[in-house]
Amino acid sequence: MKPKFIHTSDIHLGMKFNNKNFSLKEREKRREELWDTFDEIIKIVKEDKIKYLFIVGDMIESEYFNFKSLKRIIQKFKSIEHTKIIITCGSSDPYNINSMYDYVDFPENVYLIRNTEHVQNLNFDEDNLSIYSISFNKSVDSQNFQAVYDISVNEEKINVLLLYSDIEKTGNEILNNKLNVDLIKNKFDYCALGGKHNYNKLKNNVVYSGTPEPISFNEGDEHGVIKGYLEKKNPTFDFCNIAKRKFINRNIDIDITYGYNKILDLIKFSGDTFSNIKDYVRVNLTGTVNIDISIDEIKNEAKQFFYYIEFEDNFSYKNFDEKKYEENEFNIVESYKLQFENRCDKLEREAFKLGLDVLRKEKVVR
Amino acid sequence: MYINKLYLRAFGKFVYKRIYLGKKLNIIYGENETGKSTIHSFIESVLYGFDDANGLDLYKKYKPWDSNLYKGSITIDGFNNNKYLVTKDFLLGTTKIFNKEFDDSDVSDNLDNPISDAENSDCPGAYFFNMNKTSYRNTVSIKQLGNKTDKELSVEVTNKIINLSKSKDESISIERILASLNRIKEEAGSEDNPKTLLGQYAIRLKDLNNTKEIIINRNRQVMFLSMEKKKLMGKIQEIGMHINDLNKDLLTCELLIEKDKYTKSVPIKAELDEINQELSQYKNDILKEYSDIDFDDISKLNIELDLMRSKRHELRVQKEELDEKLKNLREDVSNRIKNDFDIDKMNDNFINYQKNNNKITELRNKILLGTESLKGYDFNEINKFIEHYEVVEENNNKIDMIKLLLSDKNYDLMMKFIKSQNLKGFMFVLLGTLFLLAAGYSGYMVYYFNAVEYYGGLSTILLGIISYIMAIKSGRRVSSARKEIESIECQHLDYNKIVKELENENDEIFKETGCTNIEEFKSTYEKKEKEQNIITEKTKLINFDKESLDKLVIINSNLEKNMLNDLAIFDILEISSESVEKANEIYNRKDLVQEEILKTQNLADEKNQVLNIMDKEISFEEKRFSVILNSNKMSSFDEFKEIVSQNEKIMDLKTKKVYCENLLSTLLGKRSLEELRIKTKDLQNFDAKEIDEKEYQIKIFKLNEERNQVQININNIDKEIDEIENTIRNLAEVEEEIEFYEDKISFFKEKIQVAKIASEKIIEISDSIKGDFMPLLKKSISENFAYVTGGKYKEVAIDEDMNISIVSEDNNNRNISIDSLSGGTIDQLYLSLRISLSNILSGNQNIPIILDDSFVQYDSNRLKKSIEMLAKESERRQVILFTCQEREVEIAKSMNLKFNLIKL
Repeated sequence: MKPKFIHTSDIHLGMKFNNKNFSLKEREKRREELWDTFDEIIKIVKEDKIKYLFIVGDMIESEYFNFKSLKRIIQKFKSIEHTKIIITCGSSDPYNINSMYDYVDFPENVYLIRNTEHVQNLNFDEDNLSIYSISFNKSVDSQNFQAVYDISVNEEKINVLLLYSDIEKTGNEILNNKLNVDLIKNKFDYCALGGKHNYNKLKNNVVYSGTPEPISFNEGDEHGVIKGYLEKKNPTFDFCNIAKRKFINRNIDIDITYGYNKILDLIKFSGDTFSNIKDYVRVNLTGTVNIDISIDEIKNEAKQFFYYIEFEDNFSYKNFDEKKYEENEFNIVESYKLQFENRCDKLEREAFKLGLDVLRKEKVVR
Repeated sequence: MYINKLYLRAFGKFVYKRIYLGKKLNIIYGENETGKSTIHSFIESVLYGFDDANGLDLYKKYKPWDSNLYKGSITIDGFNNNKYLVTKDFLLGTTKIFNKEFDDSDVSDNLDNPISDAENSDCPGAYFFNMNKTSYRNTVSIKQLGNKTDKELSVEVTNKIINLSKSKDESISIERILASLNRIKEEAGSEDNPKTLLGQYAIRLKDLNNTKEIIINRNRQVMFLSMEKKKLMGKIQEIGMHINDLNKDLLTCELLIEKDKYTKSVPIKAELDEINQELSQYKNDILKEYSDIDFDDISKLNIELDLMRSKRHELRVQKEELDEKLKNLREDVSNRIKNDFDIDKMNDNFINYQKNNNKITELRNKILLGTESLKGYDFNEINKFIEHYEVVEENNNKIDMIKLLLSDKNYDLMMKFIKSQNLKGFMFVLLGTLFLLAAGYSGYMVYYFNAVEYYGGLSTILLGIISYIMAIKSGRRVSSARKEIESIECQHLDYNKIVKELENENDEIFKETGCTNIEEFKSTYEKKEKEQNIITEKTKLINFDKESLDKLVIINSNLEKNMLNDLAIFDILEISSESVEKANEIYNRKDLVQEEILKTQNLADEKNQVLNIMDKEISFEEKRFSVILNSNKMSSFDEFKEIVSQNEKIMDLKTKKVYCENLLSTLLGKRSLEELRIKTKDLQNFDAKEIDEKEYQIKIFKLNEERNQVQININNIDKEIDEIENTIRNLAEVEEEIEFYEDKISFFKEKIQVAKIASEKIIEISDSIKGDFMPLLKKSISENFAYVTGGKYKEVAIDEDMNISIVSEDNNNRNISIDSLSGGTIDQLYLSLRISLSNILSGNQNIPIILDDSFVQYDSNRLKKSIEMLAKESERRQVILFTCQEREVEIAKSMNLKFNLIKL
């Protein structure tokens, strides 16, 4: 019987959320939701009688993790004693002297990849399975992909590579030796990659599982785990969406002629209602807004229709009545508008909004 | 420049409405709902459209409901010395401006040359007045000041001038705006001031950073503890290895011991096999499950039951004997005697019975003698004679009665009556005839001689008739009396016949009795009557004796019956002195027998009771016996005994087996003999060295102790780690909170910065307005004010501190505070202000001014001054005044002002 497996990575349990627009409560809730998703993976493992669980890096956020939480994970692993869990360390949980993994007793079904310089090989003869992996160590400047390329595998066995390649996470300092997929695709029957937060099937047998629960607006829509069967030359697997919420980016282009309600409707009906009351939505507002319309009021009004919504202001204000009358920049409001026209500086833009708001209120009050 | 004509082709309620306006003062008068506001809105919408916030509502409001069109035009004259037509189609949203001469009647059809300036044509108001809609509303369309006190008016106008001077908007106060912006800054405060938001955030941030530092230190401590733990775990591993080495040496030593154990185990194993062989004969380890206690119980019970049964048998025999005796006693005759039986009564009855028998014999003899004495009398003859006598006597009585009835008294009376009635009848006939004759005579006299006095005589006819009637009645009475006499005569004949028959019967009786006459007959009768009395007396006596005899017989018969019944109790069937004696003897025996029965019965009951108890006990014990058997699933005690004996045998074997197994177990432990054999078979190959086993064991023990101690230390470390982690906050949470407050601080700082920039910009613009616009405004107001006041006031002065005063020519150029001006003068100042604004904005074009019901609240004096002022202004520009009151028109007329009046 072909052994069943689940491939996941980048769960980032206990992470700190950097989204400034998230309330403290929301961050706490989201942190707990990462645990819920982790529990969901364990549940799937149990229900589907998964033989192998590959966690390819960043299972936890070591900087913010404690032993109490680690014991919580161990308890979960103990509950799936018939599943062999192979854990590779990533940049968020690097394996080094400070690694918490080294100071706890994992149950016997857990195999932690402790090698950071050489590829570690695990053999599971009952399934004719040979697993190769190398953990990430932050003290090493870059990962030693050469060691991976140099592996000679037993062709008789099902060879699986578990590799964390932190290309996305490192951002600007992209690794010099980028993983060459062509060099590994034929050597291994299945390459479980981690370190990228979006699901990405590079080749038929080379896959980034992505994070099971998204953590920022930079991540795509679909998030979950890869579930399949290990087989020589022919692994079969599917992507299973298990994420509780999505981070959705939407773009709304505003025309200067749009009124208050039209802009509000555009935001309200920008996605499906179910998604709006469940997911995190970021709306990128572009185009030109009539200077007489208060976008802040629209934003506040729109919030009630969403579980979470934030805005990115990439629009410009313009005076709808753009005609200039010779020597007739009559009152202070008009003059004020003219003063700020075409100012790109954020502070000046904000100042413009505030001043205009005060002037308008003064006009209304009077 | 002035508005020449308004053409409302279809707008609001107006269709084809043309309004011609004069160049100077125009008063458009119309009561409420006549369309003043519509015309005002028409001017504004043609010039500026419906594009602002309320545009859609106004567009709908003025859309004609009864026309497909929605358009109109305005003619403006004097702009660049030309005449212009502005047309607007509100439905299409098109506006056109023409500057050619055109025919008024055909404004909408022959316009083919609009001004090509498309930008301006969209908003003609801006084109002609050079101002946007807001400015238009603030200048061209003038709202007058409210009906306030002079002081309030002065404050309002002062504020408007100051606001205009600083913001070019009379409603925007720069001071208030700057105060608002400053409030934002003040609310945010600073990080140094703990009472402000920023100060609070800074404190919180400081706390959080401290917390973070503590958490990091504690986490470091946890990590150190973890490392210590790891070290200790390594030590445990090391100790474990040492223990293993020692154990290895011990193992060799142990093998020697094992070999010895093996050697000892072999014979025990053989014996065990033998026992097992024997036990295997029995299918089960125990033939049948039973309880030993039960077996002991049932054995004892069995013996007890046997004893009890034998005792019960003895009791039953005794009981039967007593029952037999009791039966005999109960069957004794005396027992049948009821308790209420009276033996004395029976004895008395017997004595009476004997006495009665003697009396009966006596009476029977007496009756026999009496009967013999009566035999000499013929009762029938005596009785027959007496009957005959009675018949004769009755017949004689009847004859006497009839004779009495046959007396002639009635007959004579009847005869006399007939005679008297015949006489009466004759007398009445005669009298009647006389009366009739008298009446006939009277009639004759009246008829032939007409003698009136004879009329009375005619009445005798009636008397005559009455006399005849009476005569007839007497006749009838006579007739009925004669019939009665005939009846009496017949009755006499019948009575005589009966008397004869009775006398004949008496004669026949005499003949029969042999008597010849009545006297003889009577004496015979008396004799016979005496005989009859004697017989009757004797018969009575005999009958009395018979009755006494019968009574005695009955009494004795009852006594006999009772006696026999009583004796029958004693089984005696005859009445005799012997039998009575016997009965008395039985009766006297009764009490003794009863006593004996009671005694015997008690004995029997006692025995019975004992037997019942015994039965119950036996039954209970038998049940218990049966229960024990059942509970042990035995059919009989014998089977139980058999099985127990067999099981005891098995148990013996098992005990032996256990003993052997224990021995083997002690020797082998958990291993099998075979394992031990295999383990020790190569013992000769070991390089067995002699060791001090005890010493080794002590070493191992100590190492284990050490290992336990290390484990305790590890556990303590775990506890400490738990405690630390439980007492500190989550670092991610704290850092998030720090970021949150940092964001807040930077947000408010930015807000302060933003408010500062906004303030600076506003001040900058305001200063620029003050520098550029205020002198212009001041100059224009001064000119206009001087004009509208007819030169009374020369100038309006505004100093650096925005103090406004008026320079009066009359008072040697003295500055007069605006507060001391009258309401009317303030109105003039206000109008001057509006006109000035209009002039400044329009580039001194003298554009029209429009006033919509501006003076409604004014009193007559103030209104008069205002009209006068407008009239003066209308010399320079067109003035359009909308009003709903006729006061304006009347005042203008009274003042002989020239004006164009349009009535709606």
